Amino acid sequence: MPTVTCKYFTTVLDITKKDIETIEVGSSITVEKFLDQLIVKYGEKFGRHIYAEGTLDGKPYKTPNIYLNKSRIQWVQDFPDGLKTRLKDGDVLWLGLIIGGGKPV
Amino acid sequence: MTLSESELKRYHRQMIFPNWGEETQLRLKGSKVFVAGAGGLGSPVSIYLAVAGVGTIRICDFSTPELSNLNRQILHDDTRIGKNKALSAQETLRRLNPDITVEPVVEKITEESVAALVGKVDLIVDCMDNFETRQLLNKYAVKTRIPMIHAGVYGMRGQITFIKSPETPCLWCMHTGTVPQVVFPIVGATAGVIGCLEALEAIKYLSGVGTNLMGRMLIWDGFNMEFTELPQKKMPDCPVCGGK
Repeated sequence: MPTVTCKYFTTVLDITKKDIETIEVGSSITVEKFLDQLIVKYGEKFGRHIYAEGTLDGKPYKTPNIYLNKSRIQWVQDFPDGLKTRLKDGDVLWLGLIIGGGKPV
Repeated sequence: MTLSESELKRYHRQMIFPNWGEETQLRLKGSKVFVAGAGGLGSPVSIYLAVAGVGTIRICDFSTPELSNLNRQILHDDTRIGKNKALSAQETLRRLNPDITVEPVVEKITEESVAALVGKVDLIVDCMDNFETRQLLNKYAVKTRIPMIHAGVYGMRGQITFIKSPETPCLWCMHTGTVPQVVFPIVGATAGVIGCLEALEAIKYLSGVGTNLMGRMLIWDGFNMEFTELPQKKMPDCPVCGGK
């Protein structure tokens, strides 16, 4: 069974309580589906720290802030299929890598 | 513009740097920097810009120091509790270097106020504690083509990059929107490490000495004392910079 490694940082690490784990994945699972599974495992709060959601200039967005093998999933130069990219054995996902938190304003 | 006798003495140890001299020091003296935030990062940033002789530091913070800030916000002390942070910063920085100008800005940065508060500056240094304001500053920096140094800290970790649109990706290309805000752990020295790196990036850019972290995110892990560098790319459909 193929496996992917998840590395958790900062606010995400506070939720997972572990900084690294290796997870067996079904063959040809997409990044999006895999994130859905992680949200089921760690809860909605985890999801809110992975996906940034809001509006910019009146346009809504919902975008995950994750890196796959050290590249952002939104960089279509690296991932033409974006969230539909299929995970491969040995892939490494970085979650919560870029510090985005802060005290409530 | 010239350098006084006391300025020549004060800055001597940096002016003997190869390719620095009076010309570079005058460049720093003629520079104006907007420091967004007078907290954990804003403290080392503004202190090191001040003592390096950056001519005008415009420092912005609407909040007041609290006792729980003082493990890291070294611009302030017990006597400043209850005073506005930007005004407290002005007092500290003036004492450290009376030859520079410090402009305190005591208002909150909002979509409506960002242009008026930042104004015409050579550089923005992000010392914020939230991504909402960071993204506002990023949008303004992209629009005006003012370079911006971004940094963030958490616990014993930190990150820093130099944004200069359109040459580099903007902050939105690296991190979309905001994330839920939490009261996070922080050791003062973490803000010191990353704040000093921000100050150094600013001094290099303003003086024209060295190269900046353009298109690169430097991530510091203080737990294991490791630096990691992540190349940054533009998001081709970035709604802020257009990915161009």
